[in-house]
Amino acid sequence: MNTDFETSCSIGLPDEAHRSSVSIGAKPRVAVFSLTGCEGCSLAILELEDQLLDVLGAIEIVNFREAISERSWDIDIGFVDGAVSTPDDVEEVKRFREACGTLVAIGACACLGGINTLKNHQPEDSYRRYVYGDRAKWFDTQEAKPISAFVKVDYELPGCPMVKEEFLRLVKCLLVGRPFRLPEYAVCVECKKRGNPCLYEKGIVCLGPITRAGCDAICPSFGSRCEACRGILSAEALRAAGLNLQERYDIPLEKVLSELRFYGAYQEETIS
Amino acid sequence: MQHPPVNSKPRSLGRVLCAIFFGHPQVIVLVPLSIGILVHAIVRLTHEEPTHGFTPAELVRCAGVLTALTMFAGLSIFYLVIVIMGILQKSGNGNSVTATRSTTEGLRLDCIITRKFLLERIAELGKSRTLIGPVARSDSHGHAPQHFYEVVKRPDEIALDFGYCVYGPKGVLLPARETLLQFDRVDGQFKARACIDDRPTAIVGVHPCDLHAIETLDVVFRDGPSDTHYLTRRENTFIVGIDCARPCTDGVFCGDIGTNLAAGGFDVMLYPLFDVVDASALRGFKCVGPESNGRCLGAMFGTEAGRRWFEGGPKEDFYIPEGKDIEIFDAYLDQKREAFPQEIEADWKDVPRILGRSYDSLLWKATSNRCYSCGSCNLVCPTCYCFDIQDENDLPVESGRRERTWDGCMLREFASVAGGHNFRDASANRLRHRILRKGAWIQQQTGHHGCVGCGRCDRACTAQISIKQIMNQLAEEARHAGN
Repeated sequence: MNTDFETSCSIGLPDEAHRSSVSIGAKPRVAVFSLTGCEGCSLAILELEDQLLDVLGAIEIVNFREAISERSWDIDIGFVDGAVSTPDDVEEVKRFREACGTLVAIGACACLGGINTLKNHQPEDSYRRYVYGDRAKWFDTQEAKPISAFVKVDYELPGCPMVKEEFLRLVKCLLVGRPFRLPEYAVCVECKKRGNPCLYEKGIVCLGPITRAGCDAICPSFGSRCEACRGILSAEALRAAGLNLQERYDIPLEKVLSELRFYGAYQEETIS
Repeated sequence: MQHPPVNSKPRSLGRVLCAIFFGHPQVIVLVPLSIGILVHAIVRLTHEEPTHGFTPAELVRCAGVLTALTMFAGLSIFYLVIVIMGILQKSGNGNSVTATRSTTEGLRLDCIITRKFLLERIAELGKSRTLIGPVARSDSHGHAPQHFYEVVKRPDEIALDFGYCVYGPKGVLLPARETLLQFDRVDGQFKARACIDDRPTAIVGVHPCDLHAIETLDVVFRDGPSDTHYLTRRENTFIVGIDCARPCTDGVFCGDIGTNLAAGGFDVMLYPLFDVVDASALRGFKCVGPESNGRCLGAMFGTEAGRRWFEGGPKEDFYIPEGKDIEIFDAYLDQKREAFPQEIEADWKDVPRILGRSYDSLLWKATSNRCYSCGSCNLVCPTCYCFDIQDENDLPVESGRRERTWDGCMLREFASVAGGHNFRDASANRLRHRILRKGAWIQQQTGHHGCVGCGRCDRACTAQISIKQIMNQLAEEARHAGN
């Protein structure tokens, strides 16, 4: 890539973290790893389809269990999906951090703990027996947490699965040396920009007002309520939900909390 | 240019007296004169002194007669003036045959047409322009359909009798997302190309509130740094307004603001004269009775292009009102005036002053506790024009686009600046900022309405925070404070 171009079109200061790790001019070496999760976010990269060849023209994939046999540990950018849910995961995620110049958490599990954190609200015996049956004692497990609870994460791409267009946007920002930021507004903004009717007007309680945007309001656009898979936007929005949903929509607070826990159990504890 | 509100608000005695005094200065002279003579006589009477050969009792009688005469003369002149003014006004209207002047400034009926004529004209318009109009959209959940502005292929897809559109026509002129320019690097040179959308478009079916909102947008994007993207789209957009005989839904307050009637901002304005509250009062009018032959839509031309559009239609369905038909428009407007209840508990003219004094009200914090800061109120508002601009690279990254999207002052990061400071970090400050802009500041800056009373923000707020309620609460606070 021509550096002249970079200076002429990039806006804002490049982030130091990736400036140091991604050498301008060479194709960045990219790895995709998985911890505890369904690996759907890894697959989302392959689902880029129309843009996949362009992506492969700009980056070099060197370690990706879902896609290639190569297992290189010389990595510029590492994408990790899945939550940290076992002692093995803890070791793995530390290894990823050491190997990758830039570490990106992809998907609700890696960014928020995701649905894995549902087990944090149940007795350990019961979920271990439910998952592993009579062999429960063979498997070590621990409270599920996002990877940021163990290692420094440079970027997060939340969502279940992650939004592949957002992945593409991050890759382009890293290539050009522009800062990347997640939207700091609610799903409602994108829902309104798409001209959707509001689900609340149909008597459907949607978590769009408290959820971070970036998904282009895909669920409400197809008539399904938002389930906050991209995480709770702010303490302010969470407080408003507490005040509104019970009082104005007659939904008991326990139900609101259990809905938020579907993806945001860990966040619920950490959000101020 | 502001249009006076149509609604006649109940007036207090003080305001009536003020109107009499300031409207008829002779009263100021006559009334004190009479009172003066009377007081003089009473003073004389109590002192029991003969004056110029008259006894006090004679003087009182004399003064009484004089007073009565003066007051009589004063009142006579007062009524005479009113009668003469009324006659002058009537004769002014009578001269016009093709246009009836209504009691509302700037409105007239240029022609009466049939629905068939209108559909034919819309079809004609569709040959050269992309047609956009209110379309009823249903969902799979079996809820009542809602209306949205959408591109249509056939004129009969347009639901002209719609209540309200969930979103205003703003998105046609200022799309939620648009590309401003494309950039590329060709032969080592950086090249940028502006993306201007000049496709001819027609919006058919815009209610008066939204016409007022478009006028506000026009001023914002025209004056100061003019916005080529908006203005080009606006120049190429033909607008057909349609009046509403009654409020489109509960709680709208366009009647208070006066934005329930529009005298401009359209190429043609349609009036659903058939949609009158009391049709029996209109017996004998050619345009609504059985003899109307379906002529039931009134129209007013806003531009020459609008006039030309109608002149090309079939003559048999186009009718220039004459005789008694001229009065139907006034009857329509009278009935319309009755149909819009007062929703804001203050005169709209006083709202900027009330808001100006509300800066330290406790209401902002108390109300904004419930606010999600989701920005829905901004995004559905027909006059909210704020936007954000971001560059987006392609892959390979040498080329890309500069994109503009809607933004909103209720969003947390709206007032964030370089260095991380946020001028309106607390949601109470953002709520206050928005309401003051809607109710006062936009009007002060542009001379046009910042709020048109369409009620979209109130309907869009899932926390049920209502601009109308806020204004009413602040008006009440102002009354308590004695302002």
